[in-house]
Order: sequence, then structure tokens, then C-alpha cells
Amino acid sequence: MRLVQLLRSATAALICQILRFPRLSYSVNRVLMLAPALHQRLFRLAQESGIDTGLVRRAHPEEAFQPGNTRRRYLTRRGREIAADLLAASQVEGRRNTP
Amino acid sequence: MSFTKAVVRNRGEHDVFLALNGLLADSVMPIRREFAGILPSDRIRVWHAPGPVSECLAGNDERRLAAELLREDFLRSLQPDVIHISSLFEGYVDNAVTSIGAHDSTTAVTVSFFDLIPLLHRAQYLDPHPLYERFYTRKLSLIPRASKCLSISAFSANDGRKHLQLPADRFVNVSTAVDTKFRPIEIEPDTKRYTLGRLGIERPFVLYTGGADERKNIAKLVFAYAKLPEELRSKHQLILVGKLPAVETRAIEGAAASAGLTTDEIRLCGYVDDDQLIRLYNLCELFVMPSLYEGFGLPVLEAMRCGAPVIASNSSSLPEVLGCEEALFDPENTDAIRDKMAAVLTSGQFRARLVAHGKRHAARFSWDHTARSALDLWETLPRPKPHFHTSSAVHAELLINRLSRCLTFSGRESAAGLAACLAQNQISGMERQLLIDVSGVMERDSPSAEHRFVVACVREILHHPPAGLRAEPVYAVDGGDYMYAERFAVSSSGVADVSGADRPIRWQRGDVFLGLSTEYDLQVESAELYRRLRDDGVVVRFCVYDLSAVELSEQYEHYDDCHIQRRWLSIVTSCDGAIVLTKTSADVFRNWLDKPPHPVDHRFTITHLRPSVDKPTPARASAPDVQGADLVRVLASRPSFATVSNLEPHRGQAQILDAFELLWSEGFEANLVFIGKPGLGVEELAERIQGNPQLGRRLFWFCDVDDALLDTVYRSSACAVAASLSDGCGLSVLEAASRGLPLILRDIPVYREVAGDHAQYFTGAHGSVIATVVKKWMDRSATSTCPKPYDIALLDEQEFVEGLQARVLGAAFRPRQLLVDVSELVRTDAGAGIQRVVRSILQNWRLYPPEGLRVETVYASQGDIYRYAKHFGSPGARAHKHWQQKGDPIEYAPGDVFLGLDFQPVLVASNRDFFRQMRVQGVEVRFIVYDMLQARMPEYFPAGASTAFMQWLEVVGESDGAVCISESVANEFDAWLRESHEDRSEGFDTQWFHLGADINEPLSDSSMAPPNSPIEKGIDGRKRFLMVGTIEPRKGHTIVLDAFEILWAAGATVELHIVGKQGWLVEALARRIRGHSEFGEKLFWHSRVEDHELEAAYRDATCLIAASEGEGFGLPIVEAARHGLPVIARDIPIFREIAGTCAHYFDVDCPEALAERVRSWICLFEQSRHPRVEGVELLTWRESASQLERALNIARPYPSTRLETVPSRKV
Repeated sequence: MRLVQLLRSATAALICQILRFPRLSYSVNRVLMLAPALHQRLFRLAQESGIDTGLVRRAHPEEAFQPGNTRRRYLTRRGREIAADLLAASQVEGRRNTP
Repeated sequence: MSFTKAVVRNRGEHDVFLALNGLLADSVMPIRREFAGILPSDRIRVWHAPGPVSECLAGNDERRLAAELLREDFLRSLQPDVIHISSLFEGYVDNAVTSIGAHDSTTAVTVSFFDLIPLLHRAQYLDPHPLYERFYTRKLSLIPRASKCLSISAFSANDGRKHLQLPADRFVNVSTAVDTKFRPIEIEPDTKRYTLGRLGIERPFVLYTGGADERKNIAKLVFAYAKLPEELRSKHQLILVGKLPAVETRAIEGAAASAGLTTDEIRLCGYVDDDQLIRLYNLCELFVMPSLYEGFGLPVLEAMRCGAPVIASNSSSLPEVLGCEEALFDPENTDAIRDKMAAVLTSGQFRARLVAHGKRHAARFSWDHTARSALDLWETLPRPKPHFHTSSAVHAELLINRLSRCLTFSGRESAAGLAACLAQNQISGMERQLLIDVSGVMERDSPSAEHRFVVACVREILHHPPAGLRAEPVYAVDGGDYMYAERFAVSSSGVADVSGADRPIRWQRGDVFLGLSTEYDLQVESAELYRRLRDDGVVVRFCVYDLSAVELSEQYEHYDDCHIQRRWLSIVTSCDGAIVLTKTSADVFRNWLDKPPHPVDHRFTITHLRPSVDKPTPARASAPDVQGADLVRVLASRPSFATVSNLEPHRGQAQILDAFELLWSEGFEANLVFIGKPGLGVEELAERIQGNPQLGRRLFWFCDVDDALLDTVYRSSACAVAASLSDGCGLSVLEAASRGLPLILRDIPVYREVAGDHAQYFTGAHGSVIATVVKKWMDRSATSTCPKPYDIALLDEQEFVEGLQARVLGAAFRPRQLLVDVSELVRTDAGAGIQRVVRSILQNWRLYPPEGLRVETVYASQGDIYRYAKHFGSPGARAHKHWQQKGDPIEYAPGDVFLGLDFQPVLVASNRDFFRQMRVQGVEVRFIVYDMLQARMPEYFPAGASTAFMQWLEVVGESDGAVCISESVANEFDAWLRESHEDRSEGFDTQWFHLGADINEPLSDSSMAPPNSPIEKGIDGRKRFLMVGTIEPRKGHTIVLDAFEILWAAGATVELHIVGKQGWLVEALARRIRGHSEFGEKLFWHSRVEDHELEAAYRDATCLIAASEGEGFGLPIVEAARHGLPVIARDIPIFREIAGTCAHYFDVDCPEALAERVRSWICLFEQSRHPRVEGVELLTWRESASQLERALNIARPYPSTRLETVPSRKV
């Protein structure tokens, strides 16, 4: 029992340390998301250890809030113009970042 | 909230906008309700960004950065002088977004500054939470970008200066306050017993409220309390109020136990609401605040306001808030805390002193005081500097590029999400474009008077753009499109040139297109673009300088220029208006429009603005052929007469040349200077000039002039001559006058209007006329008695632009939309009553649109969103039965009104979220309620129909209001709302109006065949009773048929004519009618009747029977009244409302009694004593549409439609 307690404390401390480095925590989190059960366990452990539970949940792009339905065919004329501009700009940006 | 309300209350002449985050959509409507009545709804604007963006979630960084850009871009579009962020450190766990200088670095930003608790207590707040530390540090780094930090106390201001190492004046203490509900109150004994009993308070108590963080120092308070003499402790309890996490509760309980306190002596009451808290403040013996660090310490102020004696620690802001030296203690010393508590609990005098001081001192803190301090501070901030012109396209590109850098698009749909937000922000923002057409300037290389006028105006507008408008010079290109004239704009602004190609124009509702310069060919080619602009809500107006094609049509008929100018004018008149520069031109224009055939848009107006004339401009280049000095010498050698305008037949240059040839032949020494390019029809004149022996000696002709040459000519000439037969505005005359040049002018109304008595005039077409006037002028000039131009009233371009803004642009502020739902009518026109209402109201609104509103028909279809049904039902559009064009999705902005005029319950219910979104955005959503029958009598409708109706009714009930078609329906609706949703009934607006019936117009189309009455099938001499309406259970057909069977059995010579289709749940009745022994003899059913046949039926019937048990309006009674047809009606409220005393009523449910009522009516009818329908009030559809407009209250003044309400500063 004490060993379990010890392991939990060590894991919680590790989580806390990882969360000090946002990029590292982001990467670790992405890997953990591949094993949802493990992620869930660690998530609960972090919660129970008093670590802000929001820290270890990754926002999924699908959760994105939008004003109304934003499928392309539902865009207003202005919206379609802006979407085209955004796509063009992102392509230019993509090319610029490609060696 | 309290601070913002106080700012709104104290705003004076300032304009205050609340910019709300659409990611926190649930908070928007409560905030709108809070500010209802104190801030116009359009001053609450909602911006959108893709979410989630909270910083505690990994993976939100890109979206958050995008949200910051979108937010700042939106705020910039409101054109504020100051942006205030009421809480900077938000967005860690929720979707709040705050930033400074992410996209807009020109507008002053202030922030409310509360404290630096996390920074100063790192170990407690930051070290254990790295992500929070990152969030906090990032927000902290924004503070230096703020122009001012509005601190809540002098202490927090000092703390900010000290720890953030910012200039001392960056922090200003505006203090803070608490709600006025914190005050001494009378507490009923029962309430007191209940409040204290619930919390386990049995004795007088010492109160603490607040958190349980380490800095709150609760442990010391507990230990100090434990040190009180037992006698005191036995008479009191220590009450800790506040939401405490379990860990902290355990810690306090542990401290209490180790201090020897029993659970009876200390109570942890947890969270209490404000009402309970106020009671506790009022009831406590003492309030203690032992905190080690506070930014302000609101509980101290709350307790003092409630009349509690308060003692507090002598650290941080608390001495400042408490304001009483003797009430302070050292929070680190439990003995000191104990002593102070004991002093209050044992000394009545000390206690009374603290209470009196508390009340006095607390009165110094008020939200109004804080708000006024903030407003005073904002007034001192510099306004955003007008930076050099950046076109909308360039600005948009900058934002798009920044967004594209911080967003990784996973596909087109992601871009669509962001685009949807940005598009909504743009339409919800306040920025509008003033698209100034400078095509003529861009196309022509030789400046004319018009050219110079346009350039001067554009320069003026760019330097002093009209309020709320972003001036954008644009020009037409081949193919009918327009481009932003970016380089032209930048050079006109006087800054360095920009590189890159010009971009195509973009527009949205509320923009203004001003055709300042004319270029007939290209503008005629752009007619389709102007139509699109107007369709999209852009106001399109043109300046008209030349009306010669109208005024001198006979002389010009054979020139192409004349035709194209007339085509151009016909395009102008199909737009929103023309601006002419003289009253004479306005009269000419109006006269031309009055003569057919000139189709003019009903919105078209002619505005007369006095012309302006540019001041002499600095030289740009020298003349190409004659050098400046030589020209001056030549022109100065003898009197020179200048005529400045393109060579055109109606300009009279040939007559001037005749005159001077005559003068030269007489040995008269004078120069003649023509300035202007040759137009059409002046080939002969051009040859005469070119071949004239005086050319280069006394005669000069400059086709291409620049400003320098023009200036040289004006400076060196003695007089200007204008012989035009027609001139739109006399710009060249004013130009000459502005340079002090005397004028010889043809006596035409325009020149008389412009120059008055300050010119020498001539009439006649012969050269000798001008020659005589020139000689006379020379004589008078020698004696200085010739008219001087100095007294001509000139306006400068600034005045012109001001006039333009006041009279042309002001009225064109972003028009509100009245989005009229025609979903059912678009799908199918069954000719039912509701659809007739929709058609009639729409027709009238198209002819007489509500003031300041654009009526836009919109529709939804299953699985799709609301789209525009542009031109639906308008003259020229295809028949609505075949109207299938798929329109653009609707866009909406604050101030728009959505009206559910059509009845499509399923679609409305499925768009419930969409209506909520519109209301969040500030759109008013209202529905027409035709009846409440399906709610009141669901048994009369097919299974499922009432379910759809009730779902529709729920959507109506959570909208802004309902407009019912009668007072009876309005009463029924209100009753339903009160019964079903008591919470919603307050603030919900229920109105009613009456439907129309055009009494002066036939119901049917006059082009159709003469009406063929279905009733004529009966036998003359019989009394014909008519029932009109779909056969449904509630309509009362059964009882009427029963009654007539009794009448027929008794030998009455009466016919019963039923007009209407078979509806639902009446199969048995239909069989009974068709199989009736009198069917076709005395009983008739006309199930397919056209409008014109119905009209004939009303004409030929004896009486209308309205037997329905429930109706929304009772249109058949109105239609019967229109034809003078008497009415027997069931006695229900709606029929009483419509027919009043003009009908014979029955209130019976048995056929025998009804038969008796019909018999009694026949007796009265035969004696001509029956109730007459002439007293029924009949409305035309126009009156009905006006009633509906009033019921909607849409014509009320709306802040954003009036320029004068836009004050000097916005916060």
C-alpha cells in the first residue's frame, strides 16, 4: 500500500515537473493521447494530487466554437472572400516555410 | 459590471461601447438585459473567434493568438479613442481573450489593475502551476503596453510601480466600490432566526468572509480568537464564511483543534449568497480582516457599509480602505489581533466609534466616483494618431497574413471557420468604406476643372475622413470591375508611394460609393457592379457635372457622347442619388426626370451642393511647348483673355474665336488663350485654330495642361471668357474667380447663379456680341468700373466635403435590415390566408419601405440555413411559384430585425439556435402569431401538428417579441406565455395589428376573365348563405349543416354554399355533404375557387355565416364587409373585435337554436333591420403594413443611424 502511495507521489511530482515546460508537456501529452486508458489514469492521478486538471487535457480542434454553421457552403459572400484569402495566404506561408 | 454600469451612467457626451466575446456566448444575453434601458443595444457588440482558447488547455495557443488578432481588429473597427480592459488576467480556464498591441498599436489601452498577488506569492500561486505561471507572466508582460493602469487602491498603484518598474504616472488610483445593496437593513426576527439557525450560529459572532489562501492569515485569526478570555468566547462564536476547498477546510479545522477551540466556538459556514452575507454583516458583533496582503479588501468596505464594526490588519491596502488607525492590528501577532478583538467586544464606546467611522468612511467609495475618475483619466489620453492612408485591402491583407502565420489549416473547412468569424466581426463592427470613384482622374492625363476639383476633394476627404467612414479612392477598369486606387490614395495623402498592383474592391452593407469623377465609358460598363453594390446594401451616388446631353439634346443628338452620357444618366438614376453642384442643374435634372420615359429608382434623390474650387496648387511641371517665363512675357504684353474648358460645340469657343478675329481685324490688341482638349464635333474649329495666322502670336491653344501651366495662364491673363450654352456647375468660372480673374460670361442661369452680378454678361450667338462686350469690358477696366470677381461666394473643398457628409453621407449610415421570413411562400404558394398576408405586406413594404430599413426577404429550407431570397416577389422577378434561386446565406448585424412573417413551424423550430445567435449579436427576432388554435384546441388538428406548433411557439416565446394579427390572439398568446414561461413574460413585447383588405382594388387580377360566381348555380329568389374557409373541425360546418337541415325540413327557401378545400379530420363530414339529399339543390360545396370567383360569391350571396369556434383574425368577415354582405357570426372574442355590433351573433351549440337564430336573422333582413356591415373597420393592406411597422417599432430612432449622436470620443 505504501509502495503504491510512493509511486503515486513520484508520478505526481514527475507530472508537475513536466508541466513546468510547456513544449515538453505538450509533446508528452500528445504521445499519451495515443493510449487513452493510460492518459485517463494519469489525468485522474494529477487531479487527485491537486494539480490543475485542466493542464493535462488537450483541446481538440473539433471543440472549436464557431458563430453558426461554418461549412464552406454556408459562408456569406464576405466569408467566402476571406476564406479564399486565408487559404491563399496559408499556401504562401507554407511555401515560405518549406526549405 | 458595476464599474461598467457606472461608466455608462456617467458617460456624458462620450460614446461607450461594450465589446463582448462571442466565445462566452452564454454571458451575452444576461449582459444585454443588465444594460437594457441605460445603453442602446447597438452599443453592445459581440466579436467572434474560433475556440476554445483557454490557456490551461494544451493545443490552444494558435487559436488564442488568432483570437487576439481578431479581437483587436474588431475593437479597432469600432474606432475607439480608448479601449479599457476591465480584467486583463482572464482566459486561463475559460475562453476569455485579452491582449494589448497584438494587432493594433495605435489606440490607447487602459487596464483595471487589481494586485500582484501571484507575482509576490510565487511559491503559493505560480511555482506549483507552470502553465498558470506561463499564462500569468505573459499577461504581466502586456501591462507595460497599456497607456494607463487604473488601480483599485493607492497601495496597488504603488505596488505596480515598485514591482513592474514602470513610470509612476502609468498607475492611477481610481479606487473601487461595492454594490449599494450592502447597507444597514432591518431584519425581521423570523428572518434573523432562520438565517442564523441555518448556519448554526447561536450566539453573537465575530465574522470573517473571504478565501482561505495562506495570505488570508486565517490560522492566526483562529489562534488569536482562541486566546480571548473564556468569558468572551463563551458569549461569542467565530464565523468563517466563504467557499473553502476541502483541503483548506481541513487545515482550518486542524488549527482550531490545536488552538483548543471547540466546534461550537468556530463555525465554517461555507458559501452564502449576497442576501445572507448582507444579513450577517448587519448582525455580527465584529468583522475581522486579518489578511497579510490585499489589493483592496472588498469585505472590509462591505462590512463598513452594512454598519459592522471592522478591524483589520495594518498591511497592504487595508489601512487605506479602513481609514482608522485605532482599528488596525499587526496580522503577524496573535496577541495584537486578540487584543483588538477583545477591545471591540468589551467596549461599547469603541464599537460605536468604529461603526460611526465605518459608515462615514465607506461613503467615500462609490462606483460613480470611480467611473468619473476613470472618465477624467481617459479624457487626458491622446487620441489615436491618424496614420497614413492604408487601404482596406492592404489592411485586410496584413491581418490575413498574420492569421495565416498563427493558424495551421488542416483543410478548407478550418479556413471557413475562421473566415466566418472574421466576416461576422466585419459586419458587426463600425467601419464602413467611402468608395470614391476617381476613374476620370486615373484615365485622363490632361487635368480639367473637374479633374482638379476631384483631386482637391479626395485630398480633403483623405485628410479629414467623414466620421465613421474609411475613405477609399477607387477606379473602374475594363470589364466592369473596380480597383482600389492605392497608389493614387497614398500620393494624395502626401506620403511615399506603395509598391504592388492595385487590388479589386470589396464591400459590405453600409458602405457608400461616391461617383466623384466621371468616366462615361467605363462607368456605363460597370452598371452591373453598381446593381450588385446596391443589392448588397451599398449606397451608390454620383456627382453629375454635365447635363448638356439633356439640356441641349437637339444640338447633340447626332454625337456618340450624347448617347453615352444619357445612358450614364439612366444608370445614375437607377441608383440612390445624384449630387449636382448648382440649383440650376438640379432643376434641369428634375425637369428631365419628370419627362417620360426615365425609370427612376424610388430611393433616388438629387442633392444640390455648392461647388468648391481648389486653391492654386504648386507647380508640378512646366508646359511642354511654351516655357513659363516666355509665356508670361507674351501674355503680359497685351490683355489676355483665357477660356478654360475642353473644346466642344456647346462651349461656344467658335463664337469666341469669331469675336477675337473681328477684334484683331479692327486692330484691337489682345491675346486669346484656349485651354482644353478637343472633343467631338469640333474638328472644324480645331482646324481653324491650327491654321489661324495669329496662332502663337495672339492666339494660343494648350491641349494638355498641367497645374503649372494653368497657373501661369491664370496669373498672366486679364480676363476669363466662358461662352457655354450649358454648364453643369461652372467649375472653370469659379476656378478663374478664385484667382481673382474678371469674368465675361454668357448669360445662362448657371453662370448667373454662380457669379451673380460680379461678371460681365452677353447674349446672342454672333461673334460681334462677344467682341462688343470685350471692348466694353476693356473700357470699364481702364476706369476700374468693370465687375470684380472678388465678391463671388466661393466655398473651399473643406466646406464641400462637410456638406457632403452632412447631406449625403450622414443619411447613408449602415442601413438596418428587416429580414422577412418567406420560407413557406418560397417553397409553395398554396394561396392560403397566411400566404396572402405575406404577399400583401411584402408588396406594400416594397412600395413604401419602412424608413431607414432595407426589406430583405429570406428563407430557410430543410437541412439548410437562412438565405437571402433577393428580389423575391418584386416586380420583374420570376413568378414565386417557380422561384428556386439559391441565395447567399444571410449576414446580420446589431440593429437588424428578423421578422417571422411566414408560418413554417418545423423550419423555425429547427433554427432555434440560429435565432439565439442572432439575438446574441444584437438582432431583434420577432414573429407574427396568426392564431393560438393549435395550443388552445389541439383536438381539432391532426396528430403531430400541434407538436410542431408548440415547438414553434417555444421559439417565439424566447424571442424578443410577437406581433399577433388581432388583440384577441395577443391576449391568448400573453396568457400562454404567463402560464408556460412566467420568467420570460417580463420584457417580452407582445403587439398586435389588423390585416388588410384592399377595398378599392378587386381581389382578383383584373386581367382575368369576368368573375363567374359559383353561387349562380342556385335558383334566384332563394337566400344564399355562404361559408368561406377550409373545412376543418373547428369551423363549425357540422352545426351549420345540421341547422340548415332543420330549416330545409321546415320548408325554408335557403341555400347553403360552402367555399373551401377539404382540410383534415373531416372525411365523415365531406362524405355527408357529398351524399346529402340536397347536395346540388340547396347545398353546394365549391372546393376549388379562384380569387375572382370568391369575389363574385361574396357579391351574389345573401349572408355570410362565420361559425368557427376559433380564428386568428376572421378574414371572411372583413371580405364580406368589403362587399356589403351581412354576417351571422359565432360570438367569440375575435369576431367581436372585428365586427363589433355589425354582425348577428349566435352563442349556441345546438342546431335547433342556430336554426332559430338564422330564422330570426331572415326576419330582420326582410324588414331591413339586420345588423349592417358598413360599420366594420376596413384597412387597406398599406394601412395594415403601416400598423405592423408601428407594432414592430422598427422606425424608432436608432443610434447608429444618426451622425449627430456620434460624439467626440469613444470608450
